[in-house]
Amino acid sequence: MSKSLFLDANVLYNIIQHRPNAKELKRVIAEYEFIFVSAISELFAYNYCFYTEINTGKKFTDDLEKLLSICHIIQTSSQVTKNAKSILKDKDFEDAVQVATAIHNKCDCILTSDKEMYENYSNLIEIIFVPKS
Amino acid sequence: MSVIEISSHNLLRSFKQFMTTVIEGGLVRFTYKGKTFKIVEEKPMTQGQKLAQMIEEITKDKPVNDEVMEEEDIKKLMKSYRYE
Repeated sequence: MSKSLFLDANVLYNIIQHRPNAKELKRVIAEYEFIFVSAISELFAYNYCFYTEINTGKKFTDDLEKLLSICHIIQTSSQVTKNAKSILKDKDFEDAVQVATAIHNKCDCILTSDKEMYENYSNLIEIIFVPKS
Repeated sequence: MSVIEISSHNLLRSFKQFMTTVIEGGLVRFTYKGKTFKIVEEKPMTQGQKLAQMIEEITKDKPVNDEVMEEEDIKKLMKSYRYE
């Protein structure tokens, strides 16, 4: 049976930065047949890379492009935004949009390093939480 | 798992038999000039496996970055700095 995995934005960040959890993230990703990333995560990750490059002088966008070239990038829509509003817990609307996007696109699972997302939305979709360290 | 040992002498005669073994998930060992080769079916990589391979490639020369950073700070970096 094919399995699809939705990557939260922080997964991209942790891999590009080679954070201590990158190895575990890689191990989980390798188990899935299809990999999805929302267009919002793509935007945030580029924002992050450009900002970090300006501040550190290190190049990150090339690595991000390589990662994204392998993933399916999925769009959000006004329907997804409405769904996000209806499932919103706490105050992080972006988390709700990510979860609503994954559900709308019938992803089997979300991979994140955000404990709040894991705690708030695990009742709606399977969420694998890989702590930052 | 079925295992077949073949050599250059019986390669053609046993071709159908060893291909059937490979297709059924068995193991075929081919010996030639004292070296042994394993013949297995090449399966296409999944998107996850390709991405894992890419992650390995882009992280292999980078030191692990264990600088402590709170989730809030990361989120600010990723989305809010433009509006501050």
